[in-house]
Amino acid sequence: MAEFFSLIGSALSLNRSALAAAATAPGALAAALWIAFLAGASLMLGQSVVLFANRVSRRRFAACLAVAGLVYLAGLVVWGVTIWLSARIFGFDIPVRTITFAVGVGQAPLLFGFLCLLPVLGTSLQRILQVYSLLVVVAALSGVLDVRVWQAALLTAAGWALRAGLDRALTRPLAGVRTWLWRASTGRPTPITRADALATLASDPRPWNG
Amino acid sequence: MEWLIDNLMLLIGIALVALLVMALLAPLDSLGWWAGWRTRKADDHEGPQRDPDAIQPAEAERYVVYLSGIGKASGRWSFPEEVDFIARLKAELPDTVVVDDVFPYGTTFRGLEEERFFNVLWGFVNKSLLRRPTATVGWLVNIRNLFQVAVSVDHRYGPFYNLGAAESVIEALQAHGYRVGSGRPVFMIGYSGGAQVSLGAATYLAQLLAAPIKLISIGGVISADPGCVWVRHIHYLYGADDAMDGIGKIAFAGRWPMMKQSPWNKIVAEEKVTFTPMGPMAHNGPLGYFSSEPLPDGRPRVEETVSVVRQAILAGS
Repeated sequence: MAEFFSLIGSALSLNRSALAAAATAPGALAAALWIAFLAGASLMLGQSVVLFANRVSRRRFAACLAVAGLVYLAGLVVWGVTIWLSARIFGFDIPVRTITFAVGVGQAPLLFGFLCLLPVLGTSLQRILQVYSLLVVVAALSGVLDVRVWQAALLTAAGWALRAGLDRALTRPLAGVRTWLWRASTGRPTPITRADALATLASDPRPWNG
Repeated sequence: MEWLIDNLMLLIGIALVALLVMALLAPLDSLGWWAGWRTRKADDHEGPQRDPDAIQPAEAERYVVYLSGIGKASGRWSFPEEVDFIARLKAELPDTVVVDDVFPYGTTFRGLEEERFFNVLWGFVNKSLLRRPTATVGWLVNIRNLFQVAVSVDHRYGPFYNLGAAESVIEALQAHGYRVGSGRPVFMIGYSGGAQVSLGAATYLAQLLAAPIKLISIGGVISADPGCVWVRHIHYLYGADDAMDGIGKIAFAGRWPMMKQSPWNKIVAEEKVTFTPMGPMAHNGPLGYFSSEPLPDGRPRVEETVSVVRQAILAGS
């Protein structure tokens, strides 16, 4: 456990050499994946207004956080693969495992994603944490690949662009999966937005009672 | 003393963590209510009892709802200066019902004595303030309720919080004889943070009551809330010595003059906001809007405030 927190500390302090050393330690990848999973769940907690808006039950709420963590983790693995592909294009031959470690550990700032719950400050805080997370990913890549920061930034950006393209291409084919995941975890039909939820009130006074 | 100095950083740390926890928990009451995790307490307003078989009394000419500032601990009692203000206002406005028992800083309860998180603490604070309204623990209430105002302002939580506040206002109005659908105008008087909650609730009050909603803000700390679109008119009362008024203008970007398209600046441009300077009045305390301390012309401050509010209500009736 001490190593786990030490890894988080190295990530938060953007300590490239410590991250490079940690990458080769036994259980490093598992620790990074745990960080990514917990960060995804924490971020979901910070954004949980969407669950409340959809009247998700208490019991399902915890399940939704876990599912959000897993989905977040899956997204990061895809990002890791796209960075690996970009690295191949640029002539680097690096194991996917190493890149996945860097991307996973880079999510350490988002362990504080639950702070996005804070009224008024939450939305800005989320952006700050996401930028911070991106910086940690770049620092971690730079450390574990032993490349310059700008090279790591370039790889990160290229991988991100590739992932964004992939996301767009797969939006439609994966729509069914998303809906299934939403229904399975929340027990609610298609997600509604705050505006949807509240728009009904104008025409039907007090539908929320009872 | 030495122990205190040695552990000062620890104490500051604990206080900051407590503040953070309080802020994080702030949205949960209204969100939990919307999600069905929590239900509202049964209505116990002191008004005419609602008996469906009884002959309904005639409606009053107008209805006024007063929402207090962030020092408010319960809908069941008010600070002495506010009791005085409401009594004077009632005396000045015949055929008017003034509702002052709404708690604007909780969706599912009407007083901190019913707060779920840290119930023992809030029960103690409420009792302390009941015994002595100027008790130091009042600062805890200020901080807690400040976070609730922040929830009202937040674009993510505000719609739910403000809907809950509107529900509280409607319940109180009905308990005092208001008939939903009658179209009788409702005047919201919001003091300090109560003005923000009033403005936020106006979005739903205007639609659910199908009646004109007018806001009288007394030292109000209000954002450019979407409620600006729904409120018929705002009377904005501000004292020259009210520091909170300046903070509201700076803290909310939608109130900056450069944000021409914000709901606030739009209604200002449409002349739906009447700015009324109140002279040398402070936000609260001995020189506040409800104080009996005399103004330079010799009249008590509260008398001037009542006079301006009365004029605003009669002019808008």
